[in-house]
Amino acid sequence: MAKELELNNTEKKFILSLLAQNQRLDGRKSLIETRNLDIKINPDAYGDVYVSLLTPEGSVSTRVHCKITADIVKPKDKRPFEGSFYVNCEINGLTGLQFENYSKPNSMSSEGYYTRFLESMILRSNALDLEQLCIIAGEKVWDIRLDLHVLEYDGGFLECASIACLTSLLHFKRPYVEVQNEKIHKVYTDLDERDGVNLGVLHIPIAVKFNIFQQLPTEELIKQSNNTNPGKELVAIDCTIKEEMLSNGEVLVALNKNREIVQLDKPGGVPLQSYKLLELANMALPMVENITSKILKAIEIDESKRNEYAYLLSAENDRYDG
Amino acid sequence: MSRFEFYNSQGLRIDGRRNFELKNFESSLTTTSNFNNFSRNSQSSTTYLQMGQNKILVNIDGPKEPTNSNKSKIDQDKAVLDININVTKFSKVNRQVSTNNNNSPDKQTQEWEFEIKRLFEKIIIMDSYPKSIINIAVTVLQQDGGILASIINCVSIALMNNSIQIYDIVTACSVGVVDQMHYLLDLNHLEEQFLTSGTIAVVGGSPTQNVEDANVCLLSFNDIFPLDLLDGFMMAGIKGCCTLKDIMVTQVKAMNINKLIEIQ
Amino acid sequence: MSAANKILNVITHSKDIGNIDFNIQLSNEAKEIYNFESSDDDFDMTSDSDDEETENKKLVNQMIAPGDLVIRSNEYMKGHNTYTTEDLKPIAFSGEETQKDDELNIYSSTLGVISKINKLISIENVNKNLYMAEIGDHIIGQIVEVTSSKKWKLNINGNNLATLQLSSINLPGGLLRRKNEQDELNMKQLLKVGDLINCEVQGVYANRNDVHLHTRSLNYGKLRNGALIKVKMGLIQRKKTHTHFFNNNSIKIILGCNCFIWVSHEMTDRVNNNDKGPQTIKSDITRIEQDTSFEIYSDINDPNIDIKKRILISKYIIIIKILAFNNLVISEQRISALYDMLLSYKTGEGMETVGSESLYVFNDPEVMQELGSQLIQSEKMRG
Repeated sequence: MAKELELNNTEKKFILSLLAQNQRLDGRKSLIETRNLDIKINPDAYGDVYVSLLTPEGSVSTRVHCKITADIVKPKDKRPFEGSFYVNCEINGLTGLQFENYSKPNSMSSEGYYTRFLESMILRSNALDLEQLCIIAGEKVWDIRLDLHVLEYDGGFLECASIACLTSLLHFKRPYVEVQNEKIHKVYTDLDERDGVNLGVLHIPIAVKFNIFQQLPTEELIKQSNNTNPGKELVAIDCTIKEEMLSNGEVLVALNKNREIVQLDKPGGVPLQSYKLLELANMALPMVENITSKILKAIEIDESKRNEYAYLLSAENDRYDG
Repeated sequence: MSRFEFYNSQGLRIDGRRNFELKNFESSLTTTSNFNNFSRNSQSSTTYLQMGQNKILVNIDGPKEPTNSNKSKIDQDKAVLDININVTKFSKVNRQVSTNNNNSPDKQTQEWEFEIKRLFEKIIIMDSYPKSIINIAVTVLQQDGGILASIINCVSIALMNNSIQIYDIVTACSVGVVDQMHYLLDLNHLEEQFLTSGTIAVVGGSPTQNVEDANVCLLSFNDIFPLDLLDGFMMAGIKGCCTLKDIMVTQVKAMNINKLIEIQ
Repeated sequence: MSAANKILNVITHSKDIGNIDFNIQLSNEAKEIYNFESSDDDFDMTSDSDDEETENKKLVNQMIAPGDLVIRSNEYMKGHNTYTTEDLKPIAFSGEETQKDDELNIYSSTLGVISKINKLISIENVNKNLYMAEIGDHIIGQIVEVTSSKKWKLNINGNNLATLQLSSINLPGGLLRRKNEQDELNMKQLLKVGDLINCEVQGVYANRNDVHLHTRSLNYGKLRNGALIKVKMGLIQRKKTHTHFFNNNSIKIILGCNCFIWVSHEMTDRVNNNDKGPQTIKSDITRIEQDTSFEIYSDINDPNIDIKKRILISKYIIIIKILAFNNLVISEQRISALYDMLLSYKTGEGMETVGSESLYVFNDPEVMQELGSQLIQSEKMRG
């Protein structure tokens, strides 16, 4: 959480009263309305993606840049058939002044926690097929490194980052490698010479963060016999930074559209009744479906743009004309 | 799918437990009124928990005024919580070789620290200790699956032993799923490695309570798993936690009962 | 949630320590007071409300865990270690549908025993680790920090550090001298970090977290010529006097309320001058002016303390350690009684008495326990 930003009391009250009326500070009409999503893919490269969340007026509030690089390395001794995958997330003074001198060596920040959430979301659920990254068993494998840069920060980091990760994983093409006699013969780094190979993305997990705004003090919450007092808490998704600062609990859910939970975390915070947790997990599903289709569409559009002049170059055209 | 039969037709698990059978739960207080303690400024006592083969020591220091090094952390209105988890290198079957030279904890431990800190910040009545700091040092001596749950349980007991004001007792339990239909409680390390598993923590659960109303304060679930089975998963975990609370309370009371009558 | 039905009983393994321990450790008398059998159940005030005696019996002294309901009522007030919630809606009792809105649920927030003073309900901690200051307590503190704002910070075995202001100490050169800036600069010369002082609690503010001290009496001030022992909380009770003299007034023991104990050698010549005892010093204003020279903040121990006097001091320290080991409340009578026992203590059957040079014998836990039980027995004999 951003440390040096401080809200004054009137602002706090105002935002909370807005939330209680199902309104948002940036003009959204409901607590479960997300900001508009904008996915931009760099047309000159593979796996280079900008994802931004737009306010209703159309200005950018959160922007994440995601870039994948691939290297050939020696695999770990324990897993000779698997490549490796890392998520590296940079949040520093570039993102906002509140993140200046942010990195503390031995403790984890919320953003560090989210990054880890993303990494294990992709790795533990086998969303990225690591065995497909093997070139020569025990000798050479691909090392995929995903660099996330937060360019502008106004909440919604987890959603934005997970969308960026998955888009660029889906979009990235690693160079084709020719293997002869158990040795690497040639690596086609120039993708014009030979088309690259897509990464094996087996399913598309998308993370959604729910922020909980609990007005009741904790003691009331724990001790209340809950039948008398159901659902006092407000739950909002895609919170801005100001709302995030006011929330006192969060639930992180990663789902894919096959109705599977990939990861579910409630890291401390205010207690939540179990049925509410279930509700939230189910609530995330339509959003995940929506986002998945957006990602696929963005990639499809990019593909068609890249192949815009394909007919001019291909041999088929010649024959057709002639 | 997996090499082991985790839950056989007789309803027994690898280590011979039933599916809803909790691990052996024994806790004790290391600092009592024994020899040599009288000369010590006994602000802290060490709590030891053995949950199956998980062995954990928790030492709570404070609440006290922060020393110069962490003075910047203090809050004028409430206490600040500082959690350190030390997973010893000999705690697993294989000795862990650390990749980094400095002693900074690995990512997994940092994640636990983050979660546990966020959890207990809401459970401890922080307002009653303004301008002070509470240090919780956790040492994992031996681990055998479900270590996060054991740490939470041990910290919970240690808070009671140190008379730090809390709203209610937190209990935690790890849950695993076999063949998408059988739920196992309190996993051992084999089960944790090969099954989809997670940890759930409940505050103030009681066995008589309606499971749907239980206050879940931590849920950590890192495997792919059908959404529709989530309720069963949570129910199993909550049941386990609620049962655990009774055991915990009796043990803590038994641990501390001699303190009531000893001063003459 | 259909899955809830599938769940069978959770099987548990834990030794039923509780019952065994209760039977062994509690005397019958204690069993009556601590009604442990019902400690797990929250009891409500609706039943037996006519019979006030049984109600009180139920209330008093029950070990209670955090989160347990202490009482549901609008008559009582919450004290320490409790928190309350309000019932927004009446919970359906049999026949009691119309409850008042201001009814409070008082819950415990710690592991302890209920104590009830009139209408105030509080929970007493089982573990009394920390000193809770009260106004007028005579305590011993250790200086931890000299701040820039005319204050010293002291460790008094509590949650937070206590403050001692420059204005609340006796400055050298008499009571009526004005304080100037030079005194502020000299603060470190008066009391350094690590010094022990003997002081009184002047005020307690902010939920017992801000403690102010003063040393404005000749009884208080810097401590020299002795040794400090820390004992467990609860072993020292608040009394009228906390300074006691032993062994022909040559040993002075200050039993600080914060369970810091100072054992020191008192200069005999000075004690002889005041035959009436230590109490009269305080009232003698002229003496204060004479004695508050710079000497009272001196760091140098008296050169007249030789090895014999040191052994005497350590003997009293061992006495206090034995009392603390046996969890006996430390008092003047007990210290002198134990001193007599120590003199005649034999190391075993047919052995000689222990000479004053071999005090290490008493560091044996078995010996300590034996001496403790002997002391209790002799106290019982006397009644």
